Amino acid sequence: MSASAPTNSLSSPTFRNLFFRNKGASVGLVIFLAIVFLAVTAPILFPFDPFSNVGDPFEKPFSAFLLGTDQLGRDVAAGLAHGASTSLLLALLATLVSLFVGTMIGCLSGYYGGWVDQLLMRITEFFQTIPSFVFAIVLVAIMQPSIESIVIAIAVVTWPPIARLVRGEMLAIRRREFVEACICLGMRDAQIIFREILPNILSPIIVTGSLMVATAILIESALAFLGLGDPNIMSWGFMIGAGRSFLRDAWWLCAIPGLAILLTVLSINLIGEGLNDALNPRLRKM
Amino acid sequence: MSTKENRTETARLDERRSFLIKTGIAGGVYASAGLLPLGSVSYAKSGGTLSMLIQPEVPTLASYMSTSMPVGQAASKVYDGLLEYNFDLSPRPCLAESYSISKDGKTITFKIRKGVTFHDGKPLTAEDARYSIMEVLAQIHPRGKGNFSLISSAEVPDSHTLVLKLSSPSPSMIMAFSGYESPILPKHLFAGTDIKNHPNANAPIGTGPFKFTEWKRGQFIRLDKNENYWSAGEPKIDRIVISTIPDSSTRSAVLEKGEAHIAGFGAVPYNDAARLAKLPSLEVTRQGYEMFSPIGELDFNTRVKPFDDKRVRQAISYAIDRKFIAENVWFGFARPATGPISSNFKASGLYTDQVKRYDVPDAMQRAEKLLDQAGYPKKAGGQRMEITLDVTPYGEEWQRFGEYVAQRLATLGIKATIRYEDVATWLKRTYTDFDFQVTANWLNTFADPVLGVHRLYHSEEIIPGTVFKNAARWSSPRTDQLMNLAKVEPDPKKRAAYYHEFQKILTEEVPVAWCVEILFPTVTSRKFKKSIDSAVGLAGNFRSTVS
Repeated sequence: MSASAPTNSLSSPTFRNLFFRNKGASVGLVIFLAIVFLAVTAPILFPFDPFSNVGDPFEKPFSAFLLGTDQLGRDVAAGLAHGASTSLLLALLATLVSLFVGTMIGCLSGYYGGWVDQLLMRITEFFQTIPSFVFAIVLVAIMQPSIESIVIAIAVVTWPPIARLVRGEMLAIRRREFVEACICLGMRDAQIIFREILPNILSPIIVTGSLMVATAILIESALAFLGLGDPNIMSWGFMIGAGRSFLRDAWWLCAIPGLAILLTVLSINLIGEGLNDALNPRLRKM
Repeated sequence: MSTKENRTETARLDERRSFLIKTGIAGGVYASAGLLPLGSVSYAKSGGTLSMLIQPEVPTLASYMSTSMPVGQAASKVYDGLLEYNFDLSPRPCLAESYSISKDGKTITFKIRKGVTFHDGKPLTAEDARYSIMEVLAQIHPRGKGNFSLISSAEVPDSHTLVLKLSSPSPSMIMAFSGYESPILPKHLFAGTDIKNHPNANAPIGTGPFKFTEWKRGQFIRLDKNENYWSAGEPKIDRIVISTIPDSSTRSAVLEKGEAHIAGFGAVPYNDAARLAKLPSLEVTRQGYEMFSPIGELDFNTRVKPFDDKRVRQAISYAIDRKFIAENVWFGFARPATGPISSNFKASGLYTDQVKRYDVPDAMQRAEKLLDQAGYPKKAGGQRMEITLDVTPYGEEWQRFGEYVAQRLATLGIKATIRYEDVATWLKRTYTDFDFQVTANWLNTFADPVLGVHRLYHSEEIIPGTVFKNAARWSSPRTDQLMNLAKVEPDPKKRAAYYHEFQKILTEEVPVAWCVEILFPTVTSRKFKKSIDSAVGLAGNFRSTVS
């Protein structure tokens, strides 16, 4: 590492201890890994299109099918497994895009200040003033529902908080001696930003990012629930949306994917807490 | 008055009625028997208030310039038409006591009922009917031009006779005189005014069984009994309150609780209707849509590959299990369709099921064979081709329909990618740009094939930019000829023969894969009977509704 101030590297020996000291985080990690396992093995466990009509409509859970079937005789368990990979993949992609955009804007804004900061922050505020979910609906409706449009919509509505967070951290570090030392050494701005400053503010970004995965899953599900999901891809939100008309006759159509969303979001939040404990020990002591 | 108060009032009336029934004088018995002697006062009191739900909320009550179903459902109680129609689509008298069609089919004579008055007290004459048809409906009603374009002149030889002279026979015209399609307006209020912005547009004055009383926008429309209605003893109920509830499950719940008494035409989701039908307090009917006879279908773009080949179209038509769709997507509120003309035209003889049928046991094998012959063999991985399937953006059942079709095609080796768009984009794609391969769609056959079917298959109806026309761009000289002949053929037998041949050709060529004849559920409280008594159903005048 170069001339730098204290960092909380992920490889630090205390990281694991700190993370697992949080019981919730351990539980969260187990649940999350189980869901990842389900998503990865979906094509092996259910080697068919989850939209295919495999049985009679409205079979109850634990009868012919483990989790029953829906209105068109589609296997709910297959939908759940295939939906897991959709939800996770979409959320991960959207979060990465959002983190990238947010971090870039935050870095530029915080590092350069002045009119650059003014301009970028006004743009950010513009995005923040629009209610995020309504904005996402509008974006998907305009672009037509598809994986790409959903990822873009989620990223567009979730990057502003990241930008503001990164900008704040940037501002705090910008005036520190080691940065000024870098400037005196004649390092280029890009080097200073990405090699010197960014590693120092990585931990809050990681924590926020982890929580953002959960937000992204919720947004994706809500969009699919409203019929704005990619119609060719099975997702949990789609399952709930298609099943909500039958809440009184076939509870499992909504309850099972609903439970899946609950568990996933919960586990990600727990992991986020754990990461926070592990990466910001000072905060934990308070 | 808020909707809530309104509901309490309804509840009070219900209480009173049940009191009457409990005390042994069942108002309902007299009402249903059509008897009036024992104190028409107590009978009138127990008439009751019918609470009706329409969906979506109406922007106007001017049914003379709108074909919107909710508008029709509200305004048809106020405006009567010259005729009403039985479920088998045969006409029966309303404002016209009788009608006759000359042998050559070029003169229609209506005898207008005497002693009918508008709600403002002025008498109805043949001149009102002539004015409404010629100067309002034929000019500004969206379907008016199509309905009445063949009228060359309309004469009023005496105050209660209307004679329509046609330039050529038009057997379909007699189907266009319901109060929903062709409301009769008071000439003395409308003549010489700006009809489109008339003060009575949203405060209608007609001759119908109910008078318009009040419209609180966003809350309710109140219609009260017309005491001077021409049919003695009708209407039998005191009041109709029409309101809108945007959320479908709330609508179902309100019906279930008895706070609203009647709703249909898409206002009640199919699966809810199936559930509500099992409740003792409610009744669900499939009747009252004969005038619309909607068909759910797949429209092929017959001018682009691969659907320019009829074998591919036939294969897809074979792949669809119509019974499964009727039962599981429409929950029994649909029946398999066999061709372009709804089986509701069985009674009039225009429909035939003696056509090429796609609901055969070995349908899938036939489909596979046809695709092989058409030059789309299964490649490695079992796939023959990839297509895009557009889905009508008209609700959940269409999404399920699209998903089901995509799955059936997948088993044939056709990978169908579903595309959902908003209504405007989909309409433009389908009817302006013709930029689609195959799209789900549903279209009304209406009261006669001339009105609902010709527009979908005639080559003159390939009009880019005009919606609900010939999107498949199907055209053949023979089918054009058959439609032209049937349009002006006064002899019902010959006319039926033309349509039978038409159906045989089209089912062979399948420019459209007809899937289901949609039968909308109408949910009615058992407290009120006989509301749905004609082929326009909820857009009828409810004069025979009885509590």
